[in-house]
Amino acid sequence: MPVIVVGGTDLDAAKRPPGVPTVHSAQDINALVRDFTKWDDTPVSLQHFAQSFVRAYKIAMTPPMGPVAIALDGGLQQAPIHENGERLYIPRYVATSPPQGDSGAVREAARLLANAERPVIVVDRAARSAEGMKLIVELAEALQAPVVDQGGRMNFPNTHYLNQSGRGNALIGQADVILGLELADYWSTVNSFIDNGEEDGTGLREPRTKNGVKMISISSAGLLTKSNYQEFQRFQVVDVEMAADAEATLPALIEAIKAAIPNDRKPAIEKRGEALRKAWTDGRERAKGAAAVAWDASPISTARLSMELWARIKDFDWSLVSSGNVSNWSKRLWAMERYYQWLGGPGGYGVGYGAPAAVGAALANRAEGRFSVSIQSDGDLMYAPGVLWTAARHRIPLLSVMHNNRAYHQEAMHVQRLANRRDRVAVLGHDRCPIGTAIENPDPDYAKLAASLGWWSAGPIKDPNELAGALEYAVEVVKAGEPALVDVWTQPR
Amino acid sequence: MARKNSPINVDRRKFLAGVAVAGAATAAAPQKTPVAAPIPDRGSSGLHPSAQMAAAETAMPKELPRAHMADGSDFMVDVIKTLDFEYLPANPASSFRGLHESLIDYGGNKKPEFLTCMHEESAVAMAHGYFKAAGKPLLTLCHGTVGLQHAAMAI
Repeated sequence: MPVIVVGGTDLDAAKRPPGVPTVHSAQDINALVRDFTKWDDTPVSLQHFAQSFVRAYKIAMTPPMGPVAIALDGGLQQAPIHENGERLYIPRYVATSPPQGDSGAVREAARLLANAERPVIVVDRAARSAEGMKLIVELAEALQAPVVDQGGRMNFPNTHYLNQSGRGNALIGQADVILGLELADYWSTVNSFIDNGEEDGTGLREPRTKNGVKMISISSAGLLTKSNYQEFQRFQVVDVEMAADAEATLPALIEAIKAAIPNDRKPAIEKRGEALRKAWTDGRERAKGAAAVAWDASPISTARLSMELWARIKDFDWSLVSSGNVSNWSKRLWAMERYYQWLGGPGGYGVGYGAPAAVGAALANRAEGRFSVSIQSDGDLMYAPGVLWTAARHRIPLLSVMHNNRAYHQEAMHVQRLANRRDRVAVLGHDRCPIGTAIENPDPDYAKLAASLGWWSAGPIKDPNELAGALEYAVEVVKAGEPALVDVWTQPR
Repeated sequence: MARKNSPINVDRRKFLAGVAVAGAATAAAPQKTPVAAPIPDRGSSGLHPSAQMAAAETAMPKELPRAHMADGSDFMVDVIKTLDFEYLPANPASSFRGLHESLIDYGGNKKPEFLTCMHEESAVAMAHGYFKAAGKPLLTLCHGTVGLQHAAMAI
């Protein structure tokens, strides 16, 4: 994500104030974040600052977009502007066009896709904008190919019959050509990994694909060359690889595909679409059936939580600003059609990201008059709950509904998995989860926490029949322009 | 040390307990009468402040002499304003006090508007969420080694 981080520091050891300012200064402060910023600089003059700031912005905003850092010298901030010397100027910002796939590679990809029997399009961070989403729809319709949305961004409407994300692994297993667009992890897309301790403890790994499959990748991640952090994932060999921005490459690819489809293949392509229409309808019905399981449970099922919430917001111009793990009910059963209705994950899976990212997105939505809603997990909120105060202080309307399962539940499952594998009983102490993974006894009261930081709040709600009433009230608060939190005790997932 | 001080601590505890009881009684009392009793007028101090001291406390000089022209951080605000940032989520800190002062007093706290954050990680993550919904980046400020390390997780 492009973020411009300006960090204060005091460079001149002979002039900076002694004590704390000196302790908090560093020789090369950007070194702290250099492994995961795209670019950084330490300007030593005002003209240098002007150049570097505009350059930093430009680099951050050029795909692959990323964060940049500017170290800001304390002395430079207070240096006088000399009007008799060289005149300072501010360079004009001109956006850089994103990198597009090589025309030969685009043609080859189009040839493979146009002639495929069972092509599959897999998307993760493919759409950078609403325009990108339209392009992916056009691509999928041209091929009548299923789209498997991994959800790193809002890539594809889930109401479109070609959205086949629910049976992605099966489709990938049958595919003869796979097109991956901005996949964070191509290897895991086409290989299965089972964390079962097999293969000398590393887990079972095997290809998910059939022999002879052709793989195509368009990803700007190929242009990122920093290596300390291992986000580039396991190495995957693909047949046609473009180190390019997917969204910028799609117009050329779509045009090439349309030109490459032989006339005699068109009826078969139409037929493929018809089968996918039926599969989409069947998938929706299956999801509805799954959501009804334990509908009346207390604590409340995540499906009930998601669908009660959906019933209250579906007629608004809404935006789901969380990316938390509630078994993907919103993606399976809500109608997600607009680019801002799903914002995608944090990228690095850092817990504590959810609450502040939701507030930031709600801030952006406020200007557009959109109704922001977040399904907020308990562990995530407790990292830095002060962001609730920031939202109240700056009157950022946001409906935050807690998925409060009273545990770091993923870690509970990890410890349980290892205990099972080692044929032991995981010790729970006095909690419901293995020692060290529960967030209970005492149970944090999130409604009180939020109220103390200036939010309207309700809960904890444990009875599913009380949920609708609390949500209705909270919706009114948010519509009036204030943040509201409803704490809901939920099933683990 | 502890043993030597213990009698004083006991006395203080008794004193505080008395205050707590009085406080509870005040809270429970009907709100018709003012909670705080008026402070009796005990007369002013015998000594009047000198003219110099009174002026220093109450008067502003007509014109503040400026040591120099605008500071560098005003120019930095000019640079920042060309890039059309709506907001600046940040936790305030001394190492960017020059820029902070320029942003609100020279820049008018507009484009960008300062949003007070309680953790640098929150500030950066807010910028993430904002970009995803708005398609525009935000600028954030963080303080020295400590602020940047707090921010690092969200960068």
